[in-house]
Amino acid sequence: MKAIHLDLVIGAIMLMFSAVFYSLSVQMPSDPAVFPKLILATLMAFSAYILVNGISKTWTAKKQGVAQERVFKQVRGPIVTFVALCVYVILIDVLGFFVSSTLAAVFFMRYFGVSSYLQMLLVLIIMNSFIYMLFVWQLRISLPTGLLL
Amino acid sequence: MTIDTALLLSVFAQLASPDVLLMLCVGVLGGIFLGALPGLSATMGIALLIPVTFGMQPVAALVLLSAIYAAAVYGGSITAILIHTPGTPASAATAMDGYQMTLRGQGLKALGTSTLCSVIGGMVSVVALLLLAPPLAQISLRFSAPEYFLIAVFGLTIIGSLSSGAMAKGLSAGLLGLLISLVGVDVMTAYPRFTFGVAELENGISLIPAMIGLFSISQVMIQAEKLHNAKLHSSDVPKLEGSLFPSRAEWRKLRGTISRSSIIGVLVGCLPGAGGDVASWVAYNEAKRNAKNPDDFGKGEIEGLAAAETSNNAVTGGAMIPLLTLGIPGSAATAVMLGGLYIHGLQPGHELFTVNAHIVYAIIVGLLLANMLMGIVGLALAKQVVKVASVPFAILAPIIVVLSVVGSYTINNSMFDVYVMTAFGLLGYLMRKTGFSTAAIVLAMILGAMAELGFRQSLVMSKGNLLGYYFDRPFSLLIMGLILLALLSPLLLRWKRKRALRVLQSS
Repeated sequence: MKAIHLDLVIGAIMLMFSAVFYSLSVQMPSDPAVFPKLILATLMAFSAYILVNGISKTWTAKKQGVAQERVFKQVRGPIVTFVALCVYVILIDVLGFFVSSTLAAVFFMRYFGVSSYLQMLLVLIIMNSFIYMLFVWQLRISLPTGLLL
Repeated sequence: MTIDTALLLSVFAQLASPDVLLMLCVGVLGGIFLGALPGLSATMGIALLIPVTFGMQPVAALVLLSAIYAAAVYGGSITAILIHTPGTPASAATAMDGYQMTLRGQGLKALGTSTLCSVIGGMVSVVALLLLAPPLAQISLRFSAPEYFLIAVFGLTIIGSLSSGAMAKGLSAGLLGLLISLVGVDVMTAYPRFTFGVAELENGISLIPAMIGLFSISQVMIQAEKLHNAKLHSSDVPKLEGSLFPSRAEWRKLRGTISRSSIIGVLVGCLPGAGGDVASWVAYNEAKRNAKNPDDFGKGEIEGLAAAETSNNAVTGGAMIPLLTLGIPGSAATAVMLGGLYIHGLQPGHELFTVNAHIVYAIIVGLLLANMLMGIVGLALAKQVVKVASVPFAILAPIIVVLSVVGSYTINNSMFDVYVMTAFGLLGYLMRKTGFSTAAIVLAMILGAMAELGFRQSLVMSKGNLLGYYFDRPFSLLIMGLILLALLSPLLLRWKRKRALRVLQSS
């Protein structure tokens, strides 16, 4: 991976993606398929360009002995954030919006480095009150209550 | 130009209503803080607040969004001047001389100058918007299916090619957005496209959850990369003393710079895709080129600060010109605002300036008031703003995440929209890390339906000779010329910006 430029990988993925979707649009009736085919054909051309560009960058870097830049060197934080978001979203259906939001907010504050319990409590009170007053009270939106209620 | 008294009265009556005035104040205050907080942007703020505006009248909602936009650009300069941390990319040039002035004990004067120049730049741009938008909107009356298709292509070409370093990636992001806009039942034949049997996808992918994911969640993920670094302490704020306003002699020196930078800002703002950062660097370089002592630039020269600040705020009104007249946003923030216009049932173009004139003029005059209020609030609260800007991202992250979830859910009372927001959050992060434009994908999702309808209708209208049909229409030819220009102009702008930076580095 280290020797391959990221554009090469992206170009290849995009090319495969657009080819798969092009094959799906071929199966559609001709009228609704016209525009998707036009877009996907153009996207394939751009993907091929990015792929070729990636190959040329990889080649040049190899020739000059330059190590490829590591774009994903700090991915731990973002991965944890995304996984926590997914768990939070799943929990909404089970625990309801306010309980799961409180749990998620506590997790994010702890993970991002808030150590003061007073600060955490204040954020939770202000955030939940604001959401309740605006969305439930003012806009009359029924937020998910989960399986518990 | 005749003035319609009834319209004028209606505009002022709407603006004088308590909810609009409240939203004006909230927008200005919120925007200044949002801009001052490094890592947060006007685009993200607008995306998060669109669901909050659902229950509001269109004028109150759009005054709030446009006030946030204008004030956030200004807010970014406060931290740039006082703690050398530009809150937004548009304030990077401000930090050059602004922070040097602070180090020399002229921080208060730098803040005063920046505030006044931002107000002047913003107000000039709103006047330009008031004068230029109505006649430009008239042009849209001459458009038919081919022109609407080409206008969509034009918008995507410019935002795609300017918002990213690599043109192919920017344009690919636009194409991906167009593809996403096709998901759902085809309006002309009722055939479900790319729905994979999922019933919720038949109505298409909702724009607002996608925008929230692309701009807000991706930003939290990006900030998560630099955990524990985002904390600023109020002790970093230097002591501020001395005069708040420039002397009379300094004002005389600044007059030319402010006028020139206002024009640069409005013109760059009109160019879709070129934002405040491009304008401020171009204006900064022009000010330096015309200065008596160009060597003082970068060492605390008040003219440099004035040029950057006037031009980046002049972009705000300029960027609204193509947005309100043709539906082509001039920047990422205005791309999100276009979503806000649609949500409130407003369609850019001639109708906006005739049928909905009382709304659009109220929004424009509201933007003018927002600029004035921004000056007053800025002068009064700048020092406190820096203290608020020291709120760690650890506190903001959970609030952004929870607001993103509740905002996405609110659109259709559907958890499916929350899943969409989550997926687009990941997509936005991956796109930003690999150099693809998230603004282009949003714009394409907005313009997708118009582009497809225009293309398919022109296929029918051309009776088999599509190229001949397009080349026979003067407006089509004009827009095709603009598309060509849009493909070439990034090269010119990038060259100008690089030259400006090279000149600065060499000195």
